[in-house]
Amino acid sequence: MIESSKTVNCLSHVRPGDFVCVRLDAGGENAVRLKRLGICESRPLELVFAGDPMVIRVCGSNVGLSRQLAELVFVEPLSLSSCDPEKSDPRDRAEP
Amino acid sequence: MSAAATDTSVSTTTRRTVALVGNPNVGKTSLFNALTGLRAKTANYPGITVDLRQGQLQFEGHNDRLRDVQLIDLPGMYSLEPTSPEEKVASDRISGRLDSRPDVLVVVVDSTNLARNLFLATEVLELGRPTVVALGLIDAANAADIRIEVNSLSKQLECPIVPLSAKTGEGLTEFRRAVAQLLVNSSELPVIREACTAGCTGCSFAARHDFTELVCRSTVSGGDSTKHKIEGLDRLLTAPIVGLAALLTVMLTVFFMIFSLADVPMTAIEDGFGWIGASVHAVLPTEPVASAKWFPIAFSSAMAFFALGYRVGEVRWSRWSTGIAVVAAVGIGLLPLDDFRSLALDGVIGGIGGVVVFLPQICILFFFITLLEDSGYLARAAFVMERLMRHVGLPGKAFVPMLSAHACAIPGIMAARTIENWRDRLVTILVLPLLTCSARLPVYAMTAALLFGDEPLKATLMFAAAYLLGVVAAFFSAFCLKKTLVKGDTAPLVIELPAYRLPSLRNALITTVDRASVFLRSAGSVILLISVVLWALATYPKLPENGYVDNENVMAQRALEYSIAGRVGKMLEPVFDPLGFDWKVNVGVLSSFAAREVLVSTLSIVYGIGEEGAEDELGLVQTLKQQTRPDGTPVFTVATSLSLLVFYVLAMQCLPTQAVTRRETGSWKWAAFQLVYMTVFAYVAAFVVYQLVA
Repeated sequence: MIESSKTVNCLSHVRPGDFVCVRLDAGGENAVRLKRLGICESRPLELVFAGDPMVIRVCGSNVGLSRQLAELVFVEPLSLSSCDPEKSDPRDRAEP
Repeated sequence: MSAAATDTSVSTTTRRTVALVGNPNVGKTSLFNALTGLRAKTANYPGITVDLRQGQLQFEGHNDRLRDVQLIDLPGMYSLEPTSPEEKVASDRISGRLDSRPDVLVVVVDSTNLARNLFLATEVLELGRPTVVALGLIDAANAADIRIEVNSLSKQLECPIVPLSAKTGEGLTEFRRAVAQLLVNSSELPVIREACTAGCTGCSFAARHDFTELVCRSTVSGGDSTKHKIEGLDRLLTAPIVGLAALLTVMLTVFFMIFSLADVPMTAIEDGFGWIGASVHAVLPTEPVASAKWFPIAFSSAMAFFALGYRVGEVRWSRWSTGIAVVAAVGIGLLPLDDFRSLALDGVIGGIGGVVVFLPQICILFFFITLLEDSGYLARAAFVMERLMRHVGLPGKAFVPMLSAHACAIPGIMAARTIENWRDRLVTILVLPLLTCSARLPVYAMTAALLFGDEPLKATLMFAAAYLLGVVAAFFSAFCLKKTLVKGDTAPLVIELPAYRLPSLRNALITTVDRASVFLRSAGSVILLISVVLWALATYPKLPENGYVDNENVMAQRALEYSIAGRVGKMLEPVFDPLGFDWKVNVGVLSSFAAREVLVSTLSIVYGIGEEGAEDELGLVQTLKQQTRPDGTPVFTVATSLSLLVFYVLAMQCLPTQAVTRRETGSWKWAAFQLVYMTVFAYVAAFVVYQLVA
């Protein structure tokens, strides 16, 4: 389902669209603040408006995020046969 | 084993507690208010600056275990791992590190956004405690055509689930029943629920999110039509220029409301206290009364007053507090009648009036801030302001407190609670009183009249410059504090932009009353004490008998000059001389330590035109202009007036603010620091201005 060749980029350098987070370089309190809202490895997220701060959509709600933190979030585009992320599994992890 | 021991001790006491846990903005407080009504009060824990509201949760029937059940509203949190002081308190209260462990945990989730809310819910469920999940805002979910399969959800989460709406009252009976069942049948054994992250390697957060997503997918259907509508609105409200314009419009409207609405109650309060003063004046005997008769009356009224003060301030009758009350009451009982009258009128009634007169502004500001917060708009405001505030080292969330502080620093400091990061919050609180509040306006008006009596344009420019000076000073101080005492970068913005919702007037009113009472409790007793002390300083020692003259104004002037305040003012002459102040101005500066607006009335007393003279601005200004130094040069030159203005823009002269700073930072240390740095700042700036202009 997902393209094999993917470009990993940090969230502050991409255009609005659907992504999946591949790496999070934040540490300490910032890591907790991001991860508990759903910005963590292997989770899908959507960049709604770019900018500083930017608006992203994770776990069903909009989240404002400063560029400073977005630079620590590495994402790759989510290319799916269906464009509705609600109905398809965005993760390439195998469920047991 | 120690956990089991605490469990037994909890179950033997009759009082049981139920804690409401949930993300911010899920209507937890609405549910709390719907369940407890107006009987709730703020629980105080020593050393904690966070308010925990608690109230009686009533049940039908007569079960002993349900007789005394307290419902606690915990601050909103996103995970059990805290990142703000509020979340720390919530987390500690759940785990029992603060007070006893709650007997039942209620996780309130937003039915319109289960995917976000179930993260915390699964964390709480895995604590293995008796837990109910309340599907709040079910009316909103129904309206958005979101369907939730409650039975399946209950099975997957292994806990009772109650859909309910605090707004319509739907489901509240079922909720009480579910909680009652857990309270009555609660076993001391932990409830075993398998961790959803069990057996997973790698990121536990991701695993939990995956689990909640899976649960949501199998239980929630429908309801994605509203998403696009919200995004259109958000695109506007979070845009750089349109968003800023919208924010300014909203906040200026709020400000207009504060100044137009607060005027009537403020005048009423002033008149009311004037009336009380006049009544007390009339009731007190004019002729000396035999001390055998008078002492018991004065003593008991003083004791009654202390009892009231202790009750309001929630001071316990310990050996110390009782001792202080008795000694003070004996002292008051022995006062001569005239002094008693002056103490009652100027010290006590004047002191209380000076605090209560702040209330309308505080209440109105809190009312609107709560409405804006509940509607979801404040998150957007913080988002928009982040762009600008970041440049001065403050978070976007500091904007609303800073704007509020232009009406009154007190609600501003209280509103700083929304800033999660402790260092950011502390810096914001410390610089807020530099912003021009409405109590400075009488002083500004006096200076404007002194400098530019008949030139309204220049006076307007001076006002604008004074406001600007406050803002620049606040940003400058914030920058310096961040570089020195409160080191650390501003926490970068991560903020949930919650769905827009119609705010509830009832909730806003309850919050307003709650905040007002917090203010009165924390500030009231301290201010009363200090205003009595200031009264004593300006009254004693009394003029010797031979100093009496006929003219009341001259008498008042001489009495003030003879008092400790007058003497200290003279003693301080060398200190304030480089600022261009003479000893009379010093007395004004000293007396406005508790409240800066007092300067105008003190100056009119000390310049011999009586307290009533302050109401006649022209008369006062004329008198001030005629004042000369011993060498014949005028006192109020341009340099002195400007240095006085700068001093009043920057100095910390407001005890209620100090009391609230202490409360919100948890220690007098920061209140004292605020006083010292602002006073030094004001002194240096006024010094520079005077030396440059003169």
